Amino acid sequence: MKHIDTEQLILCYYGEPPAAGDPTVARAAIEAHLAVCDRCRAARGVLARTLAAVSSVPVPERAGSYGQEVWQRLEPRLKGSGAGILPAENAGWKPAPQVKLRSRWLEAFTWQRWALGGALATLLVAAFLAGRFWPRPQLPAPAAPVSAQARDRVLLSAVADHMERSEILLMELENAGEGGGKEIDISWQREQAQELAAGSRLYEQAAQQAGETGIANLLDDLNRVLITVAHSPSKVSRTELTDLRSRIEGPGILFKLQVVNSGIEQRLRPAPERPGPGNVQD
Amino acid sequence: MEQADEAAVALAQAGDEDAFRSLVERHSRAIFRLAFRMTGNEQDAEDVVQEVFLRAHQRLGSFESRSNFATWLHRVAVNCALDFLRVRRRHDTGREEIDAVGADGARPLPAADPAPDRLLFGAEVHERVAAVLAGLAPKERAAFILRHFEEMSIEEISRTMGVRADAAKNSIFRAVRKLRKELEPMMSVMK
Repeated sequence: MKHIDTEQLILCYYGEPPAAGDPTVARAAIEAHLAVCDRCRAARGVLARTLAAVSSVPVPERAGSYGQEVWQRLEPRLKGSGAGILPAENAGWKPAPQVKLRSRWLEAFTWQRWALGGALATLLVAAFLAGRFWPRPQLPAPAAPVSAQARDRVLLSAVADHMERSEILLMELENAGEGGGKEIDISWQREQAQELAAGSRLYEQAAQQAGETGIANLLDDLNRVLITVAHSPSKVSRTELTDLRSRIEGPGILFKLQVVNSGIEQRLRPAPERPGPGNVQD
Repeated sequence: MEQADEAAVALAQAGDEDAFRSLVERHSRAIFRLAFRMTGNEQDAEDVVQEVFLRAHQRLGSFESRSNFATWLHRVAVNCALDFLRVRRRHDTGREEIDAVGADGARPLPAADPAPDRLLFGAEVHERVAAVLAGLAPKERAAFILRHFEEMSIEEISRTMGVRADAAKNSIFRAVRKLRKELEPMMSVMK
């Protein structure tokens, strides 16, 4: 007898269509099996209790006045930074493009990223100068050798951040202008692309130095796309947006980013995942 | 709600500050709930709420009036929370506390055999659920929360997160498997 696997039980619990076949028929077959199989019924019971336990975790309540409190904290940040709601120009609201609004965690993120970029650049320049001007016999032995593994992890972590941010940006471009409108405002995406492109070349060089040729090649492709977006006008027509999207889709950059990033995430995990309880399939 | 949003968005896009304020006031609680579930921490959730409305404010010009504002705002919120979780995860990686992390990357959990009478949907269960959720990869956590709490379909999750439907589905499967694995001993005594 073929039991119901965990994935089917999860889909069933959430009322999602089964993975294969006609949904109505497949669901009826699952219900029929559950009616006669103690093992699968028990597995469904544990799953249901587990997910009910998750639902029972409370969320701190916020008073009815919470929205006003949020606005009170938000308003000075909007006004203080000059990003207040500006009068519409040409029927479109355009926030001040130079405004950088970041909460403290994003500020920290940016600081870290640039600090890392600076450190990598310094290392690259130092390595180049050392090779260029120091005679080999006089090279002193390194006092405290840096672990190659630690260096690789720092690089991979920074590259993964960069790729994820780029992926989000490109997805936003893919989704921009949904629902109509002759002109689409992509000023935010343009601004982000400028920022990302500035770091992209540096990461590519660092990846090349670390022997990560595949990642370096992808970063090279990504950089071309980012530069294209960064040099686009703030507002584009539908045709221009389609053209821009085709430049993104052409080299399959989004797919490559997802695949490579997934590989990096695997490498960054502290240890291989322990085998799960597995499916109940025979 | 949708009609009220539509009118407020149109006014906000035309420069009406009060209209944007009404959107903030109307959606703050829902965004806080989502942010809290994503971050598992009140202060972090408050930071994410602020960031969501700042980003919404910056990007409202690119919002198409035919779309649903609440859906769009949720998408902004998920992306903000994902950014936050990624940053926090990488910060945590460098800290000493990570040394105590289990082999599968999950955070250390409370002992698995506390007295059954304390388990029934009590603090112990909540603590364990929070610990497992905190140990999930950002994408797993986001996909699971959108499916389980926000009741989005897999198709909607895939659009919101900007990933393929299969990827969203697999993230949910992995999250549920990890939850089941860690909570199963407790669930067994609750039969």
